Amino acid sequence: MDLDAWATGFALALTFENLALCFLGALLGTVVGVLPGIGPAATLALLLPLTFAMEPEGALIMLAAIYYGAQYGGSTSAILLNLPGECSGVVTALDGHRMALDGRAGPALAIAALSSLVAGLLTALLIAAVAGPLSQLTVLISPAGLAGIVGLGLFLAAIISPGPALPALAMILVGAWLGLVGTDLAGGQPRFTFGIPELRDGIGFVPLVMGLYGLAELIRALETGGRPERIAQVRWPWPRRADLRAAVGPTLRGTAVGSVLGVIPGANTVLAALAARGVEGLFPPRDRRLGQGAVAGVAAPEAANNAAAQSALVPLLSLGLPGSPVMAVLAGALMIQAMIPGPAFIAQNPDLFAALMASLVVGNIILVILNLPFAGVWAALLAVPFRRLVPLIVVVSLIGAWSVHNALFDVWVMLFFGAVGWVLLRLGLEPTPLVLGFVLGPALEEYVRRTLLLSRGDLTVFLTDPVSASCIAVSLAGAAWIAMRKRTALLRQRVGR
Amino acid sequence: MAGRIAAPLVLMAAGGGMWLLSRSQPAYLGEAIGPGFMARGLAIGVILLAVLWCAASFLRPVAGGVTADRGATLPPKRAIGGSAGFALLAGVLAFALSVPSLGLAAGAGLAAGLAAWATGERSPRTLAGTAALLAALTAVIGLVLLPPTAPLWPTL
Repeated sequence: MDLDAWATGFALALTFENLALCFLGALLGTVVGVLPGIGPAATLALLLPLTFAMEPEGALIMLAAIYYGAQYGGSTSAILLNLPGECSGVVTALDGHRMALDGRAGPALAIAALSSLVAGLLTALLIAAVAGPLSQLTVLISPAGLAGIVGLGLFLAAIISPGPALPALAMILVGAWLGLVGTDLAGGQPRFTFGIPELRDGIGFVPLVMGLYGLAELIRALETGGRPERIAQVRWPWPRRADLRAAVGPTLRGTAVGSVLGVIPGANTVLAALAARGVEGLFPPRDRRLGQGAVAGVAAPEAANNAAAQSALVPLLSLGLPGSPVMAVLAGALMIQAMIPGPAFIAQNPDLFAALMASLVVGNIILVILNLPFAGVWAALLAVPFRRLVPLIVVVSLIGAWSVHNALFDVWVMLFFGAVGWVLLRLGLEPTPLVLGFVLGPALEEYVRRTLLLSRGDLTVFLTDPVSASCIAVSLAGAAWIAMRKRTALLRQRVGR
Repeated sequence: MAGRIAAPLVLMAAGGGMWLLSRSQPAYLGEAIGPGFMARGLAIGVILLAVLWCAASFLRPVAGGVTADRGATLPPKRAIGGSAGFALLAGVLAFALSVPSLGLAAGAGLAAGLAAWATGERSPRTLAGTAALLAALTAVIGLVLLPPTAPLWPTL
């Protein structure tokens, strides 16, 4: 996109109607993201009929704003209440909630908003510049490569999970196994459903998370008294200069990771957030260690998930490949307007593409204007004594679980996982790796099966495919590096004694 | 020692259960891998890791027990005890059982009341106030965000 195209794009995006639609989409997306359960895909599907009478630019701008608005909003409940509204919020919650418990909820929310803004702006520029070539490159990644990328994501999940590595790895595998419950996509047969029709769609992410985080974590906090009754000094959202400095590097790295992974069809925002946090582990912390309320633990995953959410538009617009359910709904919205996303889309609709890119810039600015003042309001929630918050969290979790399919089955699932989570916590097992394995497991199975189908069962394809081999090499090198570091630390301890 | 190996043993049992269930699905469909392939692999992985963890627990003492926030073991303070867990789960159970007849708003109120009880609140006025407030909040959320078919009110 050249300067003239940007000017045309801004002229279209800044019309009163499109600006209002962008604002409405951003606001709706934020609300949808804050409330767990009502996800962006469902919201987009519900609002799709409204776009019938709209101009294509307006429809696309509003729907896209809902999507990336939900990424912003999802971090709010994750940071404040440890209730991830969206998958990627699981990663942000690890440090974000710790910051909130330390009385730094405001700065955490502000850093999440600012990182998302920077990532959103940079990714819009990136998409405008290299959408075509980048998407052509990602098509070259084979199923074996995709399996390698998801496998690397699982390895990163084990690294970033709190607690010792062995149980974390085992919990990831348990989570991945739970992700297989439901209809087998290849054969169409139910798998591990015990004859329950509702389980044919699989275990829902929201009831699982609401049970493991919403209920089990509350029980842990009440039983151990581990959570402060009242969070002292819920500060004004503006972070300190040191916080901003600590956020710069992680934001830029998170943006790079997210914008690249988002382009790959099938890689989701949680994979981007995980990878970004994993990358941060390679850099010395500027404030605190990751997992202990580090600014980098909020900035990197937030930048990555927003960048990935936006760059997921690239394969849709340039190849016609919707990489996620949300992108599929967006593709539907375009088709309703008699536009077929695919290789010719950008060339045939340059004004629409330019307007969408400009709206990404405008929308991200609107989101910060919306979210930054509200960060203080949201953070003030923590000034409410914890015991008063518990009923609110329970009710929000219940409504969130119910609203997924407007059915009580998900509430029963939430109850089951609440009890499971309680047992796990009593045993000293963390639920986070289970959730991450649950999200990534089905994707791994799909790519492994596809790979072995193409290679006729030859497993060496994972070593001969360059992407897969690189991912395996990175995982092995990472494991060796961690083992060496632990060994060195152990030796130092012994020498110290 | 028993407390130290309880978690790996539970994981081992879970892995065993997963493996047994996985056997209900074929690992191969002709030349292609079937729906049980990955499930069996994951189950075996869980069992192996649990065995490794169990062995490591025998060889080296590992800090365990109920952890407070994100892995940091904190001494119990102001702890309410096991009744909190039962009361919270009872709140969810009450919601699931009451919604078909009482509707979402009243069901949420009931769950909120039990959740407040779980926190140690015993004043009837506060319990009723919490239930009423959160039932009202649920009604607002239902009217604004949930589809019109949502059963917000009691079925008469």
